[in-house]
Amino acid sequence: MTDECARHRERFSEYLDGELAGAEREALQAHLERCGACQRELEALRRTVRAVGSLPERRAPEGFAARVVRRLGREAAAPRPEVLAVLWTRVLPVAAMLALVLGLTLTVSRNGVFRREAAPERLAMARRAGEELARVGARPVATDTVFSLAEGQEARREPAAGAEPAAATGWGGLTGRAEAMREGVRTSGRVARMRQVRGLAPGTGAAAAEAPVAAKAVAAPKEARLYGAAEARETIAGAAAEALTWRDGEALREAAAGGRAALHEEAGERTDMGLTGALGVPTGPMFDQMSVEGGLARTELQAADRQPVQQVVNLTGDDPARLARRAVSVANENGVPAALMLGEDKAGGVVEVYLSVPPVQYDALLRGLAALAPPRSNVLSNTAAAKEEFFRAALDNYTYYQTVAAPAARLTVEDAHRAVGLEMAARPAAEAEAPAPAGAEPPVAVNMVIRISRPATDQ
Amino acid sequence: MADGGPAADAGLVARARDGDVEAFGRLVERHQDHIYNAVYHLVGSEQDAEDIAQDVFMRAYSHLNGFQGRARFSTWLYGIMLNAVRSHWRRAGPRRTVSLEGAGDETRADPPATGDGPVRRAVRREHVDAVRGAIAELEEEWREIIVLRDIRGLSYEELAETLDLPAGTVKSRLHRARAALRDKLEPLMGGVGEGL
Repeated sequence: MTDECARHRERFSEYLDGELAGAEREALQAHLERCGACQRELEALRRTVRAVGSLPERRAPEGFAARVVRRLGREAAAPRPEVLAVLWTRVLPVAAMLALVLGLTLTVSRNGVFRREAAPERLAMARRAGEELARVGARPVATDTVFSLAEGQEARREPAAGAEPAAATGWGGLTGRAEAMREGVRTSGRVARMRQVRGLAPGTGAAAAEAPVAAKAVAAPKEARLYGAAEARETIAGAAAEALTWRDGEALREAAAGGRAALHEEAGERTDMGLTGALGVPTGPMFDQMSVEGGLARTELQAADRQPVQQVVNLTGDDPARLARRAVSVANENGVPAALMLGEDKAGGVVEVYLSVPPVQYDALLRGLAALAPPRSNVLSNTAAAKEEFFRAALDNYTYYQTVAAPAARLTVEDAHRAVGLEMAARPAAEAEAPAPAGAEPPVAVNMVIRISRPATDQ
Repeated sequence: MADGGPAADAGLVARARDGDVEAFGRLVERHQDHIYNAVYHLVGSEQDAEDIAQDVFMRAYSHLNGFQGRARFSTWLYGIMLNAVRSHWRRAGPRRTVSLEGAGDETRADPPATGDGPVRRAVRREHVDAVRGAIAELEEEWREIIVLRDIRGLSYEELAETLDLPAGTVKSRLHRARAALRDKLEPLMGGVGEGL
């Protein structure tokens, strides 16, 4: 097979589907006329496609639609679609960090013994939690996350008395309820079933007043579970995938289709200029990945479609662990919440730090990181795969760090609380700077991995 | 596509959004076979296929407001289906092999074309098993694109939308998937497809 054959064969599939036009099609046909091997190859591919297309259809079993409708009736408490869409997409970056924070708490409480639960059930519970928040009118700008910590046989019990939310106005509530959960685990002796729902009403006034109601609505769950890191990974990955379907895809397509052409153009121009500057709006219906070699990228999420964006910043240093600790310090100094070092010397001396960076802290953080060590590369992406990868890697590394790399250096409950406190402290500034008009969506965060390696691993 | 096509879907979606469960039931009836067939070929088990297909419609109902009519309803459903199937794969483990159920159920599920004699039916069933088996052995992302394109007939544009991939990636992935399938089928059957 010549190079020419190989080149043409790459297009066989398109050719068969009638997707090849003009000069390419003519060139391929001309080649086929003089190359018997390629003709046979094309025929084999054609037979394959035909064979698949000829498979008999498997029809849905008798009574399928009726069963779906009955299930709908049983699950009549299903949340309103728009509430879900908002909930999932707003909460994703925060949910990841919450998972980590709660994971820490639970690890300390239960020495990392977790049990698997069925994923659909978890998602359903998360949805119900969101619905309850929505029903009482709270703006769910924080997150609902349902974790399960089970020991032995499952049992149903009402939450311990301490579960009444100590602080119903947001992140403080989370802390209080984390304590209550630990209490629940201790006193039940068998199983703790608690629901973690954070209903953060930002600022003051009516929104804050709604929060206690919301928290109360979810304070006596009929069923809820605490999850460990491994389970949270699936839940979050699933939520990320769903968010892509519900919001990102639709919203991005809408933006691309109408009204936003100018923004796209503008972003495209800036991108062409080399982009140490802006990455405002995806330059197409969906950008895959963008490398920003040697420079820093600034995300203008406020003006854009508010897509959660994943960013990988690669740094190099002779002592990655030390550099990672300094990176965490830089993050904390800049008020970036829950900056946790999650992997240490995992492979080839690479250390990773996972962050969820609100837009207002973004520039300062990147400046601080650049002062530590100039980024070797800096890649932004907003695909479903990138999101899932971020959450999966964060949780994998967390588990690794807890069980292998530093078992003696487990973070404590206090660490988790401090992380939550940091996030709490970061919020008011963000809101004061840009008060959200009624109905406006809060900015989304950048999910960032700072990946630090030794210079030798650069090659 | 059932009678009425996308316009009928749009009407039913509007009614279902207003809480008309019967209208949603009609939507399910119109699309259940497409979804079930695709799920079955992705996961390879009737029981899993029914559970997942039900989940697809449950999720669709919960997110009806996310459907804004720019794409066909069926395309939108395929996006939901992929999420549900991928969740299933995640739960089942990263390299779960698909076990398409044995030939025994083929007789029931795949009624023979009229005029087929017993020998021809047996040969045909063998072909069907071989093709389904080969699809089941494909990498998951290749299985997805083969099922969506060559079984469900989505256009390249719809593939890009459903799989959330750039057009170029759709083309190259589809080609790689088909080439992998051809490599599996050709040695087994030689003139595969010709007898179908």
